[in-house]
Amino acid sequence: MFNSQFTQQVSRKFAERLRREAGDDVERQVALACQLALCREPSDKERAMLCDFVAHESLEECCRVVLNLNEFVYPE
Amino acid sequence: MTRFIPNRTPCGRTRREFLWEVGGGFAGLALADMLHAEERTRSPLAEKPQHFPARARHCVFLFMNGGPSQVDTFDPKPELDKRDGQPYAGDAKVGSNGRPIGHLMKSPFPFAHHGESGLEISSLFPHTARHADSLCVIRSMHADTAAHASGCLQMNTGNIFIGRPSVGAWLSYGLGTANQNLPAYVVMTDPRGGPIGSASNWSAGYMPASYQGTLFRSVGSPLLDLATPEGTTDRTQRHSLDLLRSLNEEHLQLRPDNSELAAADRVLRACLSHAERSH
Repeated sequence: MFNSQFTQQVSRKFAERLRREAGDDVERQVALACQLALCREPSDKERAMLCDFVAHESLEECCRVVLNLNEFVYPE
Repeated sequence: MTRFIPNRTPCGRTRREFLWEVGGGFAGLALADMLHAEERTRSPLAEKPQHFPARARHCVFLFMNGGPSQVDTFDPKPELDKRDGQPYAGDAKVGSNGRPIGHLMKSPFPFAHHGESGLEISSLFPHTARHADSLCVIRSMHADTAAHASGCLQMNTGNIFIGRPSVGAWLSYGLGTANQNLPAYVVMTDPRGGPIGSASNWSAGYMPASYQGTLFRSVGSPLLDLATPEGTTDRTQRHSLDLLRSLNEEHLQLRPDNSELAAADRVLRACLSHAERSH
């Protein structure tokens, strides 16, 4: 799931939606990603980690990580 | 003096019998072990000291779904020979899949004694027969069903219902593994297709997910999507895996008893250590 082409495609679409709905503000993009994928707000620590990651890598790559989180993959 | 007589329940078992059957027995051994606090911090696949010295370190189990009948290969039935052509007189009302039961038929393949042990093997296996003294044949196994899927499941898990650990899961649980970076229990299927019932045959059942079999595909890449996707640099892959692990650890800390998450975490750690070694 982490390396599949499908996840790559979905990550790109997810990032497009985040930009469309949250604008260019990375904190808002990251918060919306958590709301949509995890049904909750990110903790302060998570927000900082995700924002830092987007700054160094990309929003698409960040989406790939979020869509692979155990919290997203395994229903409770 | 009145003797204590437990009330019979509608299912015809005392409460004690019921609890023993569902929770006691063999499963209780695993449960007692899993409840130990120190077990939680250790890998469930770590090598374990044995009750008795074990010479075997591995087990290769070839399960031939749809292989030729035991009656025609390693298990001669003299009574069947005598009743050849007679109508069936047993208890079963219908055959497999509701088909009517026909007349009895003896094996068309003659048996002969082979090797010093005198093991009986049919004419179907002349080459195998030369190795009779290297074989151990168990003829005492029987199934509770004539249906193929549940029969397969019983062969692999001991029960016709889904939910019991497979024999490989028990071995992984009992022996552990010396290799902490690769799965302890690997399943390889025939390129033409796996057994009926597929993954339920190598399930960990009620045991932690760490003991379930890992399927290696027989065609193409044995594990799908093992390689870093095209266009992703090694550095990015590394950063992403690090972030994924950190976020998952936060999540796992709130759920220490979820074995599926713990198993996923171990797989990820194994991926990370392989990624490190390949650089």
